[in-house]
Amino acid sequence: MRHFVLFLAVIFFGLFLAVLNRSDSQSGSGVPTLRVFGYASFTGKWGAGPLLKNEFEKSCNCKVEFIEGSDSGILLQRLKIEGESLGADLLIGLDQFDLAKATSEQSWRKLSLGELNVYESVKPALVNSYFVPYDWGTLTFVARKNESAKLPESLDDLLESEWTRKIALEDPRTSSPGMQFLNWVVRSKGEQEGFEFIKKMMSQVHSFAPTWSAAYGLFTNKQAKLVYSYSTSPLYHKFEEKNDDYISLKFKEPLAVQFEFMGIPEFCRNCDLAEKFVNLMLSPQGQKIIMEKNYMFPVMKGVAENTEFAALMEEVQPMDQVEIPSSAEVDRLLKKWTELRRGDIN
Amino acid sequence: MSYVENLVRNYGDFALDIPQWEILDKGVTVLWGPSGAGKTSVFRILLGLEDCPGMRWTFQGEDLGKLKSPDRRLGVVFQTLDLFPHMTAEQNILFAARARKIEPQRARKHLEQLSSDLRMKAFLRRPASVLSGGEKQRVAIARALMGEPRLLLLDEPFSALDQELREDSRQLVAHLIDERKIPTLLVTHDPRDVEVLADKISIIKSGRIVEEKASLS
Amino acid sequence: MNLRSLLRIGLVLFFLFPFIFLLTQFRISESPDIEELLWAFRNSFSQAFLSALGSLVLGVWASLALLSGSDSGGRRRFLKVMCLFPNFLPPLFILLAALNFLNPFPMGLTGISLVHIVMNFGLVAVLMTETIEVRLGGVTELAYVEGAGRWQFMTQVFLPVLRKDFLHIFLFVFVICFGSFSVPLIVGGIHGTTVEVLIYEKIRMSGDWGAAVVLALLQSVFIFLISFVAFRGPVPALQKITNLSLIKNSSGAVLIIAVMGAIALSYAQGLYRGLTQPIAWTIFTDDLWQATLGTVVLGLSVGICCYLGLLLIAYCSPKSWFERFLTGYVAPSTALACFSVLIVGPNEGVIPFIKIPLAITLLSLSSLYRMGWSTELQALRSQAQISYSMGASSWQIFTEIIFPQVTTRAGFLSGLAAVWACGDYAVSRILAHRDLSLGMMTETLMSGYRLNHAILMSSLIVVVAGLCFAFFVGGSRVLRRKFSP
Repeated sequence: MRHFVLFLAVIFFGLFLAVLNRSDSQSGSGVPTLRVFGYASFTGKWGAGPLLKNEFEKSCNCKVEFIEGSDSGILLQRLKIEGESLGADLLIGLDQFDLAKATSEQSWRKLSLGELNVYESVKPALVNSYFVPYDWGTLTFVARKNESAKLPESLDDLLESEWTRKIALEDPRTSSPGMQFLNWVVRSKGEQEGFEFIKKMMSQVHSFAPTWSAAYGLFTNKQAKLVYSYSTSPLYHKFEEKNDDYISLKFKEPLAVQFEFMGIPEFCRNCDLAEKFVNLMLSPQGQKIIMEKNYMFPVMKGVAENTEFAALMEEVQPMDQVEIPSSAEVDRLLKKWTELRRGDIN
Repeated sequence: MSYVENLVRNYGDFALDIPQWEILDKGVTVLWGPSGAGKTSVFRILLGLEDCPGMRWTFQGEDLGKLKSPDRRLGVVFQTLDLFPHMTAEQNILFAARARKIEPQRARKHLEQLSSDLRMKAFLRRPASVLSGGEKQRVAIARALMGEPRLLLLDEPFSALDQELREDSRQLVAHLIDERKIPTLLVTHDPRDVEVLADKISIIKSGRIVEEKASLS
Repeated sequence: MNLRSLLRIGLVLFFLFPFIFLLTQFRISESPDIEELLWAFRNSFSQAFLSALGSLVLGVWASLALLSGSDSGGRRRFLKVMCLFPNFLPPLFILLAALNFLNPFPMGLTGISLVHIVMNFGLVAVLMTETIEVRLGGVTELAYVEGAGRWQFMTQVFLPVLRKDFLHIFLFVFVICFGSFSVPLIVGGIHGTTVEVLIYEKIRMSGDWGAAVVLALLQSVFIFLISFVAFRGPVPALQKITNLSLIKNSSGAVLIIAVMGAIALSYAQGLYRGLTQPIAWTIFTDDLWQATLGTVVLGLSVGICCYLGLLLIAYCSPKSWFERFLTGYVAPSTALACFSVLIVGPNEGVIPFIKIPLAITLLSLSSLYRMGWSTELQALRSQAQISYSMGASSWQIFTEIIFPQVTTRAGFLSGLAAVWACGDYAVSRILAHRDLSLGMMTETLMSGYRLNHAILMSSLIVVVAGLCFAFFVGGSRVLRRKFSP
């Protein structure tokens, strides 16, 4: 009996050690470690993170370690709760709706990046001296070509019967793109009319998914004909899957813009390295990696030119004013959204 | 003599109220009564499986009521027999010896004696789960006796057996108790058990001992 | 105070830890919006109630089909594997399968309940099969011999004797569905907001942890009260397995094969799409081996923790208040429980490999208890009592009587927990700093357009989870043999 338990214990600890061996080999070795806190699809194997890390480690005489969180909302909560003990030197992946909260809950280092050669549409996002955007994208509905005779061209078109129960949306309470949609409608139509429109949209929507990936899964699985996603989404299918069936829709209303920001917490340990990493992400090399892996537009000029990203960037019509809403404003809009979805399931 | 005093407990919709009761320290005392009279509750309280604060049970000068169930050194056979199904008949019986920390050699000897008295040799190595009703019952009795109890408590031990087997079993148990001179409390509602086994009968109704009498025989 | 009392208190504190800890960490700034809370509760309750009822009815029906095969026969084993299949897949895949096969899908209460039923009725069937065998075998045989009709038996014996077991299983599914997050949002239609969604919203959007803890606490108290009312009164005595001819019914096999077959087919289609894409191979990176190893370690750690936890509960039972607590206890929402574990102590190096199994154990152990562990322990109560009155010590009772008879069930339940752990990403994503397991990698793939690759990778989860499950089921049998007297 004892031998049997011992045998199992040895196997288990063998496995455990094998896994630990990998964990340990990642850190240590005497050089400083830059800890970058980001969301999974950025830091994961297929994201931009690993390529940026390789590029950075070539010249920094340091190690880059990614710390993953599920999304920007959860990232911020972790930062708030764990604070300095998290040891994050750089935070990646906040959008404009997170900035007010991030600023009120944490102290951040001022970034001195000088004059940045960014696109016009990015300039409004540079107003904050603690955070700098590293990519951006417009959000719109994505559809399959040839699936429908007439694709929507305005928000009101979404109310047509063809789209009844055929639209995959994200819930703004749990997802950034969901929040973008809410903001897009309110900004395009005004608050009162916007919420009335959303009320009508309720019967058009297939589902309010908790995450972008769940909504997109419903769309690629053909449960929904339209999904609220990024204008650049079809490029992923085109480049990676060699599939040209997807199209992002142009709308009469200027599209919502999402910026992804990065910032350095005041309690950073390797602050200089963090700044260098920020510079890498804004360099042509870094911007190219981000564009190609994240499928988002670069913020800096000179990278997208002569690519399909540039062509698309020309086509999209983003909102002129990108405001950074306060936490109270976000809460107020969400409260109104919750009001609309109030009631018994039936 | 063995006296139970102040066996009083309120269950809400039912109450036990036995101010004084004598259990023979030789021979068989039968607690007889209809279903719902409180027999099983009395049985469980005597075993120490249910609390009964204030009860005294003087057995040969010692107050068993103050002791925990294992320290009362009682042998018990429940109506459901409750053999350990993952063990053989023999292992079931020897479990009781280990529980009472009886020396293995002595336990082995005792087992042989019991298996001969209760005619168990043929099925001693069989798993308890495959034994017949009669066999199970004999194993349960042997297990109760293995721990060398000061008193044997039997709760409707024959009720699960068919008519013919029941009679045979009664005779066997009567013989065993008589031979080993072990005081026994038998809880039953079957008049035939009373007829064959009882040296004293206590009749319980609605939680009270309403009548006590000597054996009919 | 003896060792068992100390262990009991230790276990209760372990379960209550997230609540106690979070309540001391976060200030409750304002009282919750009662109106909002009420309808969210109504929604959580109604969908959980229907889901649990449907899972129970279909599960019992399917269990009669499982009973019609012999215990060790290939037919029963096949149906059992089919029944357990949804446990091996991420919930989103089952949801997509359900949506594939029912078009248009009935969004709203019906839709939520349908998806939950598809996810749970198979497991209920497996659990009920074992319960029916343990509880009803002897009675059924007697009724069969005495010529009772099926209907008469069902109404006069089957339902009354199994009433408490039905309640346990009902509560088990009810609790899972009450805390369900994605399904009500995706298929709930316009009003798919539940308490769990409100909790998440409070954390993610408002960062109002105090309010989130209050909601979770109210949710737990509510379920505790339900269980308290439901489980009054004694449990019927147990019988032993023999002949179950009177209640066997093969028709449930059609249900199992139809539903599980549909899920399997939809999953296979996803796999095919994943495999035929030009970049299918990109999932086979050097990290894959490491993640596979990580998954094995997580699965085994959670399985071992749950196995030990279940045995510890067995050692600490019976105790009325303790059992009541375990029956009614509901862990706070995943995010809250994980954050409470996250805040305590460091999170570097090996720590996630300790914290993740602990958090998953904290979240699953009470479910495992309701899934049949309590029934298993009750079944042995009279044996334990008789051993106790014979003078056996609690250790002797545990090692010689309880352990050999419950280890197989503990193996099955901890195997299931291991399966859940292999597919987990929600807990790991909060507690780990990088993709440690296949579950996390699958989620990463999904969050970057690669749904079909995620399905492809999840097939590896199915394999690893299957191995972990087999390890616990097989290992517990070996332990039983070794421990048998």
